Amino acid sequence: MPAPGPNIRRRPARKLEITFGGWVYLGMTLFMGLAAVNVQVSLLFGTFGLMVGVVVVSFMLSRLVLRRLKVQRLLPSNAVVGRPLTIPYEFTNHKRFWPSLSVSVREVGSRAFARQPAAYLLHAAPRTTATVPAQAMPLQRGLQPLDALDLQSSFPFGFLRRRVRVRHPQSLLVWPALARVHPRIIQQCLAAEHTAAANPSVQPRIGGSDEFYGVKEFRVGDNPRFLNWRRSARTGVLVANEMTQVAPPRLMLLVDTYATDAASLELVERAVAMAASLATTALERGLGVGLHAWADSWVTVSPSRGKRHQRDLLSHLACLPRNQQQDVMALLASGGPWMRQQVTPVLLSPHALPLEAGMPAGRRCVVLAADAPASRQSFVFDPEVDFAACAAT
Amino acid sequence: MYDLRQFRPMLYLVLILGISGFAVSASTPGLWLMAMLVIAGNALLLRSGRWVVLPGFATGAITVGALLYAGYGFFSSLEPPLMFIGEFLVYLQLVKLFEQRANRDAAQILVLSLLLMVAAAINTTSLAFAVVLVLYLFTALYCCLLFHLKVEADRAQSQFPVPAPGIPLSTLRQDRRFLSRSMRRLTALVAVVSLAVAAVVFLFFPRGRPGAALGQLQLPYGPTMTGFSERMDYQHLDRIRQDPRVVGHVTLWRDLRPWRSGQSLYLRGATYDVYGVEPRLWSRRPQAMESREITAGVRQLLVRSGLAGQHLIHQKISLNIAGGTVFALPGPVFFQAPRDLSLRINPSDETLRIAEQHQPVLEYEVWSTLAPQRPPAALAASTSSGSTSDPDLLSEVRLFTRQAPIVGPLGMRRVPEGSPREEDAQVAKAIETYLRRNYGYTLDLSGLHQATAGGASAGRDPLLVFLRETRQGQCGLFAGAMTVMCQSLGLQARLVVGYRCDDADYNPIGGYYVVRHSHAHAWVEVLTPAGWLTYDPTSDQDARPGQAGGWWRTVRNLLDFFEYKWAENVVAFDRQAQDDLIGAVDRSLALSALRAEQSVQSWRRWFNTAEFWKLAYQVMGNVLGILIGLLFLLLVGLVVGYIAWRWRLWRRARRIGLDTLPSQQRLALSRQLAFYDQLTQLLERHRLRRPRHLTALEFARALCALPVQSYHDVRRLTRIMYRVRFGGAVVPPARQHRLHAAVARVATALQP
Repeated sequence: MPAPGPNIRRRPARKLEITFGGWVYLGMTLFMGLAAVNVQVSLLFGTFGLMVGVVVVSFMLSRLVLRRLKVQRLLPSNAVVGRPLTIPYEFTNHKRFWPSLSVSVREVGSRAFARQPAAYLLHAAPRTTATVPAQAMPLQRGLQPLDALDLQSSFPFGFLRRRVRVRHPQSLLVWPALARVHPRIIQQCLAAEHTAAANPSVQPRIGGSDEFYGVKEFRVGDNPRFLNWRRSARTGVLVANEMTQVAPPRLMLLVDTYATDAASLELVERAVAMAASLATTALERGLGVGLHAWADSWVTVSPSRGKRHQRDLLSHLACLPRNQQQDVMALLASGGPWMRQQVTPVLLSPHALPLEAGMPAGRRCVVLAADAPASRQSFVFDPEVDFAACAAT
Repeated sequence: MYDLRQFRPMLYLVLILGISGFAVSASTPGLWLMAMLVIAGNALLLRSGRWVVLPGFATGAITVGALLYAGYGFFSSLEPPLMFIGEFLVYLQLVKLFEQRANRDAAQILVLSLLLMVAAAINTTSLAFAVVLVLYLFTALYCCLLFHLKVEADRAQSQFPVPAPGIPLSTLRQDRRFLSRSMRRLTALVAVVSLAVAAVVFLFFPRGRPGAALGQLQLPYGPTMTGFSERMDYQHLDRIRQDPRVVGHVTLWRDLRPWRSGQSLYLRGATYDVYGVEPRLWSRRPQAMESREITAGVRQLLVRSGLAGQHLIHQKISLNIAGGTVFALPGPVFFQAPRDLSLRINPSDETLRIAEQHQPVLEYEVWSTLAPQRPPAALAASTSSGSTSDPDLLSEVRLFTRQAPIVGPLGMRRVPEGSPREEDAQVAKAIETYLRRNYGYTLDLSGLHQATAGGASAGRDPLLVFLRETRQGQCGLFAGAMTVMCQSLGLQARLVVGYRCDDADYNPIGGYYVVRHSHAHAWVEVLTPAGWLTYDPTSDQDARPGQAGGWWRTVRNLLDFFEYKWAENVVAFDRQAQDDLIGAVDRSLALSALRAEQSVQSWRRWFNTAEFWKLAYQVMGNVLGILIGLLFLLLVGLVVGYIAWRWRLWRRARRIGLDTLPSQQRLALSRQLAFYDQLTQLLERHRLRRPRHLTALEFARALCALPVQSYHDVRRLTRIMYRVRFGGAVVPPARQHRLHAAVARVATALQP
């Protein structure tokens, strides 16, 4: 997971500008000065001086507000394309006496989001920390870099706006978009398991506690509750019952990321998102899921279950790079060893392709094509997900 | 989410202060009352939730109506136009109150309020207004701070929407902690810096003459109703209103001591001795004027000589009116001003005038004899009675004077006359007495206006109508009538205009007389062998004696004294005062530098003497001994303190059960677990001692009889103790304080 980086401020770029309201106020001040000079009334001189003082104090306070104000981005461990992400910004006011008010923070130069995340801090008392949330919509999957933050404030009167850029490099891992998967896809994957002539994957295996399988000699470390006392008394040797466990179905996702043009890239992104959605749904159903894909080398994740495994799978899927080297045949060829094991291969590809020639004998493979209308009905993504934007570099 | 609730009450307060300031400036309590009622009604409607935004056509109609009303007042009244502009601004603000839709409406209210205060500041310089202005400025500053925060927060909420359900309440609230304290600090900083800059600008910004930048752009306004005017006529005869505004202050000294006359003071301004029927205007015969160039700070002789034995009355006068007339008591001898100016003197009537336009406040000093003017013989011989453009008027007045039992046989004198005669004083006195007894004083001249509206023929002259028909009027009619009556009988008489102050206008706290517009007065001077004697024929205008003391009188005098000091030091602060201030600061710095140098020189000389070194050795020896003694005591104290501290830690370690640990670890844990030691001692004082067979945690769980909060506190503190004792956690000093505070809470809860 990306670790939070230090709050580095190396010669922050400062900028000071006069707002429209500031120009209006300066005009009014000038008018007051002219009136005072023309009329020579002492009260008007005093009022003019007060208005000039307000300008001076605006300059002072705009500087004071941003001084010794540290901001830290508290990124979550991951985000999901198309789902709103709340990014808390932690402001720490290290000043001993003076507060900081009306400070807005905005991301700079990040292309990971539909709109640059921004937040507004109303008030941070001296020597206190305040956290303000900002909402963002991730656009692209992968390890997205976040570089700098823009702090700006026009406190106290909105006449002057001071801006400070703070470098705060961090990375955010954005998972692919997750869709609602139609249950028939899971049924389709499970059905592929059962159609094999020899389908050892559904056979019970030893090592569980489900049903009686047989007896074996009792060894140190075995569960003494399974001791078969009657048989042990009869044989004179301690024996224990051996129970079975039902092995859950296991899926092996073969993700084809081969693309040579922009249109294919969009479909590749959809295929990756479909793989992530299928993996999440299957894992939630208790299935074991693995992954095999090209990421500048062949990446294989053995099928397993659990939340940690889900995070690993999604992280791998998020980081799949562009592939212009290994096509689907190479993918199938490299995934051959897995084909012979007790898994159900699921190929997620940008385009529908005939694959019988590439499949081992007697093996069925579930093929889910991104450009197929059936896939669009089976995988329902959020309306905010834009695969074209995901494919944009 | 970001509800800055203070903003709206502050906006209303700014509005109230602005309108109050304008009401003080314009003396319009009715407008103030109406505005307060409207504001109160708006606030009530808002609070009750029944307020609705006024539709656009309604606000437009009200605005146009207010504009028409203000415009009517502008063209029909003699009040300063700024006042009607200010009234219109008040109406606009009230309309805006009922039209608030967005933040820009609040901004418009603030800007209108500021413009209103600017208009009021141009119109008045009174202390009461200044106090309201200061309150207004600080309140407006705070309101602007809140307004900015509100605008930014609303903008952020619209641009950076974050659904509230996904955010913990503590996150939403945390930025409000200590917000009030922060706002107070920042407002104080803004106020201090702004005040400092305002003071610097006020004191050191270059001053000049009015109109120097953009010319005289001030809108002309009608003459003050009661007040001094250099034009003495009977054109505007109508209902006159008293104007109580302060014109200036007069401080008197006699023989270098403050002086209170006890009688009426007549400050002479200008004299008139020719009455023209068409128009009904008093004027002066052309006379040669003498010029004097007055040097700042130098007392200069004016017209008189041979002052041996005469007591001079020293007057220090500050006036707040336009024009070039210089007012003074009769018999001016010396003149002094704080700045250079050109003075013009009329030797025939001893009136003074300055040549150039002065600052809004004119300050000067005059020394007067109070004696009647004795004109030079040649001038007296050549002076003839005043001649009007219509001899018929004089003959009519003469006929009236002789017919009425006014002066008796003295009135049957031959005209024209020669030099003044002895009986002239009696004649004048008789006329004065006649007018005072038989005529009434009034400011309502509408009857006279209707009677003279037909034209300025001799029969309908205001003075004749006053003498024959209405028999009541103001001081100008009384004085004009007496002057014409004296002239008709061959006396040399002139009408004098200026200010008259009584003893009632004396402020004992400040030691000065307050001169107001309502003190403007006209009286008569008649030439007699003893000189030009003063006569005041206006009836019901007896001198008001000084009023008896009382707390309310004292308070009024005190407030007036503050007003005087305000006018003297702030309102009158001009270029000359600025130069004086800078010069004084410069001299003070130079003097300080000189004194410092002299002091350094004297010290240096003393250092070189043997006596100094002898004393130095002696002192050094004593000081060294003391220092060594103190050092020794300090060392002993440190050692004792260190031993005591170690002993306390060892005892604490033993109580907590750390005595089996190595020494260094024992000390470190003993320092960290001070809070737990305090807790155990507290429980022991309440007879809650841990049995030996229970661990600390078990013991904490067993204290179910404690109050709920204390029970949880004790368990939490015990868990923290475990983390420190066994988990190697370190408690930072800030957390130590909080833990001790938790123990204090338990102690408080356990108190009977």
